[in-house]
Amino acid sequence: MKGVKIILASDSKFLVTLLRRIMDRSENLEIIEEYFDIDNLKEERTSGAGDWVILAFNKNSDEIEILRNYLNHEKGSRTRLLDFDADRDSVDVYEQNHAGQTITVDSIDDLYDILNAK
Amino acid sequence: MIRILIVNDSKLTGGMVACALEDEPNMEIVATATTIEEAKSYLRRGNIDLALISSRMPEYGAMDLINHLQDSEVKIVLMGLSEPENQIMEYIEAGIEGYVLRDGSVEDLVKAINFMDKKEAQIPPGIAYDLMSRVAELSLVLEKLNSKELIQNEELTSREKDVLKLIEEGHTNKEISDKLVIEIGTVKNHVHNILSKLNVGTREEAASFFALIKARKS
Repeated sequence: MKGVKIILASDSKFLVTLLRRIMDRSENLEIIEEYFDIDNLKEERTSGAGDWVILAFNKNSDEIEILRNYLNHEKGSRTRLLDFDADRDSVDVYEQNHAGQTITVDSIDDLYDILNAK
Repeated sequence: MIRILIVNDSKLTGGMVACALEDEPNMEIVATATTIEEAKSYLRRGNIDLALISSRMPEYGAMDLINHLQDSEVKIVLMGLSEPENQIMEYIEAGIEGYVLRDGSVEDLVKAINFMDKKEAQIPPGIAYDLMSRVAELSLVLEKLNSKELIQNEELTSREKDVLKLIEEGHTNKEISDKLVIEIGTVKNHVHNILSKLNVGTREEAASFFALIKARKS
């Protein structure tokens, strides 16, 4: 079992399979669930199982808002939300009940660093 | 070994694709470009077999690069396509050897590259049908082009040539009427005369005919 457990949410099958390959190469990152439909994620997720949610390359701001709302209502959650914007090569990182923080990611190592940060 | 140039406006996405393909024993990532100009610069070095281009490059960049590569031996695989099938046909006609849809997977991408390397293609039935229809249509047009009927093109009036050019650009009769500031009935008469003089049955055939004549003259 790897250290950081990841729930992957994206409407792009290609990006999900791509991220899975990238995560498989890392020593500490593990994808434990994949969702192509945000509503399914909201309904099926059990609280506290993951350290991260990645919303990969999903430009639908309504869905990001749904996930932020979901995150804010998880009890005692350490889960964080990472929203990747391919147009700006950056991620917005959200913690429970906190405003987002935008971080530039130029490389896979940058992404690994953000995911591994506690 | 297939030497690959990745073209993706997202540095991270390009990097992730490179990282995923590096695991393939027969593939070598030569470079990753984030702009069309950068891609052209890498291509000038001449050590690339395949350009793996994101369809989402800004300002029609993907089509620009495909056109740029038309006379080169570099093969093209387009990735991230979410366009309807008729637009995929446009890319195929422009010269791509393979493509991966946005709903495809990394495994589909690897397959597309390997198919391309073996000079094969994996084509969904809908696209295959369109391709067969297109080949038949072009074959008919070519046959006519190679016959004496070509001469009839010279009989088109200046106005009919204007209308034919707009048909080739995909305009409707109404749009042609607006653009040339003539009655729609007049446009219909011109279209009828064009089809008759070119001895073709449809606007699409007339458009293909015009495109081939242009290509021949250039």
